[in-house]
Amino acid sequence: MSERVTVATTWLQSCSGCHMATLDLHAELFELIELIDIKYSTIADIKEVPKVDIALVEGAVANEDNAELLRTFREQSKTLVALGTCACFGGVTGLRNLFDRDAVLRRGYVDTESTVDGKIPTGKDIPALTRSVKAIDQLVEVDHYLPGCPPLPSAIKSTIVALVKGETPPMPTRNLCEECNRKKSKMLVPSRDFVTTTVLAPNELENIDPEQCFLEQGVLCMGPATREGCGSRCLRGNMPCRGCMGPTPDALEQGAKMVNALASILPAGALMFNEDVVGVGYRYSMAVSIFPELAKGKG
Amino acid sequence: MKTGLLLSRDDGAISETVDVDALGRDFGHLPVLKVYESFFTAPNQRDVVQTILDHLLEAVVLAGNSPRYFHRIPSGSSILDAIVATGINPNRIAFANLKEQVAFAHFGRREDATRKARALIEAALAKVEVTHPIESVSVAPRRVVLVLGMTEGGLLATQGLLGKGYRVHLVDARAEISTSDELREALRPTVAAVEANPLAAIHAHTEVIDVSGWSGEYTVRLNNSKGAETHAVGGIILAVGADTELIRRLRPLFQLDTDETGQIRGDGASGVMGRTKDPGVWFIPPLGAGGDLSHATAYASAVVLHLTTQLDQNELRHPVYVSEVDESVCGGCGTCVKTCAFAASAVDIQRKLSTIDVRRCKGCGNCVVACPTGARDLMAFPEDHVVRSIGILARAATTSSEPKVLALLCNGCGYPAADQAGELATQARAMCYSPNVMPVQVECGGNVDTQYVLEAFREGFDGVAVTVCRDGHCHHVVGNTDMDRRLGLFREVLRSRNIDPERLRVIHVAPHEGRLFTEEIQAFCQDLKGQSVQAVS
Repeated sequence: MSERVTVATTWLQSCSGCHMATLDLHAELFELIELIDIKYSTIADIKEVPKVDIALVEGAVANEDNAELLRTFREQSKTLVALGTCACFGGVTGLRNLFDRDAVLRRGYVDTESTVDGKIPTGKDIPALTRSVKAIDQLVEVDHYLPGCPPLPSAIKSTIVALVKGETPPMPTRNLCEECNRKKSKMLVPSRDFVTTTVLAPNELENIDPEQCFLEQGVLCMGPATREGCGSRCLRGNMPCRGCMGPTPDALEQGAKMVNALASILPAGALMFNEDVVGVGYRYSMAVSIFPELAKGKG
Repeated sequence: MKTGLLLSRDDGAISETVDVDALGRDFGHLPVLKVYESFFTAPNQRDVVQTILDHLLEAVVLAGNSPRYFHRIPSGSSILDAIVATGINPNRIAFANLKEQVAFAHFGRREDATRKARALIEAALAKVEVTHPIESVSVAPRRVVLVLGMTEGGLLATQGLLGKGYRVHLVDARAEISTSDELREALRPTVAAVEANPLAAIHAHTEVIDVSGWSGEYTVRLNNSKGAETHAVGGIILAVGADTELIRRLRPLFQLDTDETGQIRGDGASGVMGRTKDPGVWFIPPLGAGGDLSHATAYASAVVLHLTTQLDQNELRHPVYVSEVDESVCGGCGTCVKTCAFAASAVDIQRKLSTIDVRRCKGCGNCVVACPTGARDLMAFPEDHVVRSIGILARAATTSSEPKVLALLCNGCGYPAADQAGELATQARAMCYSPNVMPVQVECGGNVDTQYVLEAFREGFDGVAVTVCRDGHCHHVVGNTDMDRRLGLFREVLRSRNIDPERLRVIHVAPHEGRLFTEEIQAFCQDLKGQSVQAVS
C-alpha cells in the first residue's frame, strides 16, 4: 500500500462539520481509502504531523495554537486544501471580528446571565485568542479551496480524487442562481419597481412557494452574491441561501456586493427595519471582507 | 505598456503652485516625459503627435488641464482627436487634473499641491495599465430626423431639414401648433410648406414611447390611436416648448438634464446651443418673453446645422461603454435587469446569462455596481482602476492635521463642480480647500460601489465624500437614487466596523455649483477634525 498518496487532516477554529461531511461519504470512504493513506488526523491519536502529499485544513485561525498548527501543516504538505467555509473565508467564526476581543471574552466568561463570579481564564496552557479571526490564506499559501458549510461530501471526494490523479479539482465559479431551479418572473422584467413591497423572514410567509425565487417572495436570499457548487441544498429544502459558498471570484467581497444588489431588488426601508444586513451579508465571509475587523480608532 | 507622460505648465497657471520641474524629475524613468508651456498651441499639438509617433507610444497621460477641457473645448478636442488619430485607443489616454483640482484649489501650498499632483499622475499612469481598449461600433447615419413638438422651433427646424433634403417625422401629442397667437399667424406659410412636402410625415395625437440606438441610427417607437409603429431615424430634435410634464417623461428616453423650473438644460459647452449629452439629440427651448420669429429661426437653424453636420458624415463611431458579461461568473440572477433604467439589460433564460443591448446602454455603470458577482465592468472607469487610485491617493495624503478625504466625483455633477470650485479659488483665497481632499472621477452616482467606501477606510482615509445630482437631475435618471439607497443600507455596515457613518457624506451638487462644492467639502473636513479612524494593519 506504500504507493498510496499520503494525507493529513485537521481542524482549527471550527465545528468539525467538514470532517463529519467527509464521514458522510459512508461506503464511498472505502473507495477513497484505496487511494489515500491518512497519516495524521485530529480524529486519530497521532502526536506529530508527518510529511504528507495532501493536507486538508478545516476551520479558521482564531488563536495562537491554530496559527502554529496551520504553519506546521503548510511546512509538512505539498498541497494544502482549505476545507470548508471557515478555512476559506473565516466562516461564522469570523463574525467575532465585529466585536472587540476582550469584550467577547468578558461576555463569554463574565457577563453571561447564568455566570456567577466568572473570570476570564488565563495561563500558559490556554492559547491566546488572536485579535481577529483570519481565513487560512491570510497566514499561509493555499493551493485549493473547497468552500461550503459544510462542503458537499461528493465535492470532498472529487477534490481528493482529482488531487490524487494530479489534476486541478473542479471549482464552479458562477453565482448560485445558475444552479437554483426556482422560477424568476419579476426579477427578469426591466421595471424599476421593487419585486415586493416588504421584506419577510421565511417563517413569516403564509406559504413558502417551493418553485419561486425567494427574493420575489420578499425573502432575503444570498444566492446572487454567492458562488454555486453546493447543489443549492438549502433552496431545495425550501430555505433561502445564506451565502456559505462565499463570493464569486470577480467580487471584492460578498457583503458590500449584496448591499449594492439589494438596493435594486427589495425595498430599502423594509430591509433596514426587518433584516440584519450586516449579519446576513457577512455571515460567512466577515474575515475576508475589505474591512475585516473593527476600526482601531474611536468611531 | 509604453506610456508617455506629457506635463503642462499651462502658461504658469499650474507651475505657479505646482513644482512641475520636480514632477518632471520624479517621473524621469518613463520612456517619454515632456513638459509643455501649454497643450493648446498648434506647434505644441504637432509636437505631441510627433512625440507619440517617434516613440511608438501605446498610452499617454496628459497632466495639466481638467479632462473636461479636452472633451468639451475645441482646442482640447483637437489635440485629443489628433492623439487618437495616431492609433492610441481613447481608453489609453488618461488625465491628471493638475490645474482646476490642484493648482487652483491649493494656491500657496506648493509642497502639498505638488505631492497631490504626483499622486494624481501615478493614478493616471496606473489607469492606462489596467483599462482595456474601448471598442466602437460603426454606424452609417440615416438622413431622417424625428422632430418632437409642433412648436415654432419644431416647425422651423422641420422646414430647415426638409430644405436640406432630409426626411422628417414631426410628432406631437396634439393636432395643432403650440405657439403664441402672433407667431401662429406668421408660421402659417411654414405649416403649409411642411404639410405639402412629401419628405415630411406628420404624426398628430402621437407619443414617443421608446427610443434605442445612437447618433445616426435610432429606433423610435411611436404610439397613437391606431397602435404602435416603429421608425428608423438618424437624429432627434426636441422642441416641446414649456411642457415640463412631457420633459419629465422624456428624461429617461433621452438622458435630459433639467433645471430648477423643469426645463431642459443644455450642457453649456463653448456656447453651443441646444446640445444634450447625446450628440444625436438636440433641443430647442421655448421662445422667451419678447422672442420673435427671428429668434426662433436662429435657434432652429443652429440646431439643424449642428445635427446635419454630424449626419452628413459617411460614418459615425460609438463607444461600447460596458464590458462584455463575464460568463464564468454570471448566473443570471436578474439584478442588472432590475437596475437598468434604460432597459439595456436582459437575461437569456436558457443559458442563465445576462446580456447587454449596447444600443440602449448609456454607460452609467449602475449595473456594474449592482451586479453581485462582478461580471461586468465599466470600460472608462474600471473597478480595478478606482481601487488602485484609492490606494495611491491615500498614501499621498499628508500627515498634517487636515483629515484625509476621498472625494468620489460624478462625471455629471461633482467633477465639473470641483473644476468650477478651483476657478473660484483663483478669485477668492477663502475658496481654497484642503490638499488632503483626493478626487477620484466616476461616471455617475450609480457607479459608486460600496466596496470603494470600505477600500477607502481600509487605506486610511478619514472620510469619504460622494457627490451626486439632486432629485430629478441625474443624467442617468436613477444614479442618484440608487446611490442613496445603497449608501443608506451601507451605513449599517460602517457602524458594524466601528466607523462613524457620519464619515460618509453625500453632497448634492449641480455641475455649476462650485461654491457649494467648496463649502460642503470645507464643512465636511471641519466635522472630521478631532475624530480618527486609523488604518487597519
